[in-house]
Amino acid sequence: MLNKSCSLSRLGVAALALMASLLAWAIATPVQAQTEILIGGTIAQSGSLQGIVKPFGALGQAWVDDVNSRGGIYLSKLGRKLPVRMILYDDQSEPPTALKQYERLATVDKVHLFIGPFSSFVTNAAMQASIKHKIPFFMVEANDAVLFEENNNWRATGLAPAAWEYKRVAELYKRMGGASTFAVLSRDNLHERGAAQGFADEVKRQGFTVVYKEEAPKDIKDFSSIILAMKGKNPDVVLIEALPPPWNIGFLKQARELGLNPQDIVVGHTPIPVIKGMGESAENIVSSLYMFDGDTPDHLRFAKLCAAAGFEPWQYSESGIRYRAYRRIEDALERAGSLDADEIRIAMWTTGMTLFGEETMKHDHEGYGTDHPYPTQVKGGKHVSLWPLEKGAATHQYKMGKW
Amino acid sequence: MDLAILVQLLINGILLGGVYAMAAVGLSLIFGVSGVLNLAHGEFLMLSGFFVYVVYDRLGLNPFLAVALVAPCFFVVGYLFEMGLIRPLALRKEHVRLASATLVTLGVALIVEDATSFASLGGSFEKSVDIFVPTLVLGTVFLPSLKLVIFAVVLALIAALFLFLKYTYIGLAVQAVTQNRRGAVLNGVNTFRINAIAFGIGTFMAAAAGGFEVIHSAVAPDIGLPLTLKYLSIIVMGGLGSFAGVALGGVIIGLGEALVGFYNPAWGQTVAYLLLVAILLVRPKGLLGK
Repeated sequence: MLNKSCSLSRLGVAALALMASLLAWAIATPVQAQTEILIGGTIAQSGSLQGIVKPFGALGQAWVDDVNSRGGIYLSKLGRKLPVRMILYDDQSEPPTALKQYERLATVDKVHLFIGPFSSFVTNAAMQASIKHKIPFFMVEANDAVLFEENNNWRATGLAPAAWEYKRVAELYKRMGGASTFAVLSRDNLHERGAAQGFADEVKRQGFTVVYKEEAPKDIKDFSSIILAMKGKNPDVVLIEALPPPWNIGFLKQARELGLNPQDIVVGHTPIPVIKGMGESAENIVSSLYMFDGDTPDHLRFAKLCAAAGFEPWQYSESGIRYRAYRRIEDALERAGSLDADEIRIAMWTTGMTLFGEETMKHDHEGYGTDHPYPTQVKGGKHVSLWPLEKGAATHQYKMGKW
Repeated sequence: MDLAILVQLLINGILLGGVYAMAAVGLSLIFGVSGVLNLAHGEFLMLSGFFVYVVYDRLGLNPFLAVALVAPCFFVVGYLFEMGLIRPLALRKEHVRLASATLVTLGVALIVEDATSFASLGGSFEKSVDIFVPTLVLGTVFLPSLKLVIFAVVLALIAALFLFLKYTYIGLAVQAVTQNRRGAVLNGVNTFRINAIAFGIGTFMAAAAGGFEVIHSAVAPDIGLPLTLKYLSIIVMGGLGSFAGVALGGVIIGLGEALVGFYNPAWGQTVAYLLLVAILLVRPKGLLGK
């Protein structure tokens, strides 16, 4: 009995000593000073998506330098400005790699905020790290409906649903007249399927007819049968929606070879490799950018950041979305006023701001924003804006089968 | 189906088969001689396409001339590839040698894919030569000239390979190694050298196909392995070691893709593998395999 009470006392003393040491350690350890805002993400520097987004690492750094040249972002609850640091890894255009890198950003780099990768299918994987570690995630170039199916408050975006991607292109054809039948081909992948379906639905809503609609495999090389089937339907306008440039180039070269000559061809994503690969045949291809001509402060700042990153805004159609994401992140951090994850998350969800002097972005209840692209046309090897609609209708020229 | 459409689909399918056969013949030769499934075959095709683009873009050469310059260089690449990475495995037990060699080629394929992703030379690696060879139009039928050229080149290369194997000492040695490696050694054939030559010729064929790929479509770092898988299907379907079988396999898969793809593009791609399984069930050695 005596022995037992002795050992209990010793246990009690040991527990007290442990608690005291823990308390002393806690007091002695200073609260980690918040000296910078750490934003982490991935961008494809290799793999099938690199041709569309490779310089966005440099664009991100240009934004960081621009923000830091003004002293950083003001966080009211800290009472001072903090500089921004962005850590970007290569996701190799692969969802599993992206998830691994976002895990690293959460556990090793301990970032305050995630900035999303390019594409819905890569984002779909990366977002899991945000949910797991409860880190706010700003989705940049990702808007497939799959991403919005779960009630996930940790993600926010400025983008409208993928189905809106060609809303303005369809409106342009309505405004111009002269075309009535459409063929729609998409790559069988997240986002591309949704965007193409949205275009088909929108042109029908505008009173046009969709005479051909198909999805083709991601790694298809020969489009001759598809082109032949399209020719049989004799569409006025052919739209193809695919992200990787080789997919688009393969289709266009074979369409030219097999005499597919619609009045107009819309290629959703027409970055430099497509324009260069098609040469003069790219002339008058209709496409889209998250940009239009203007001289608002956003237009000027965006052009400045692109120049610092080594490209012109039209050269990478998604660069406009990146810029919008940077602006929204600035806005959300300023309104959150701290680096508390929950406050940043709420600020991202409640954002409402004017960008490029035109629009106010607000989330709907599902989490979608309102950004969707503006129509362009390739002229002289460059994208020329077809927005607003009056200007677009006046500027646009039907391709009329001229390859 | 309209007769004109059917004729066009048949032409498309046959010409597509020619495009496939061009690289598949090289893969078949390598496998026939060395027993190694060269999973880096498609990467050499992709690399060649890239170099053809560079020669065309930087030196301003005609792209067909660029193919004629670049493709022979890949004979040396293939030769050295065998000497440096496959030959060191030669003295291992046969099954270990084949498995190790195939894994080495897979490793090389992945390394080349990753390395080219980063070696963008100031832009993306996705390249395409901007050239249009006018199409021959006969009534309602379109005959893409470039694919016709490829088809003719494939036939010419297969004929040249046939003559080389039948009438030259090295060609006869290649055949001897293919038929009985030990017997060839006992007759004084340097099998190491023959293996390297087979890799050289096979890689040259892949490089020629890569040159046409960048002219006809586009090349990107990730196109290699999927193409290699398709070529493997073709050579297994045609019969391992049979060049005529490879040509036939290519045409059958091309026709299958063209006809099925007209109605359903997704199944058009799958049909290659369905045909492979169906043919192997009926003829386990492939269409013209012995």
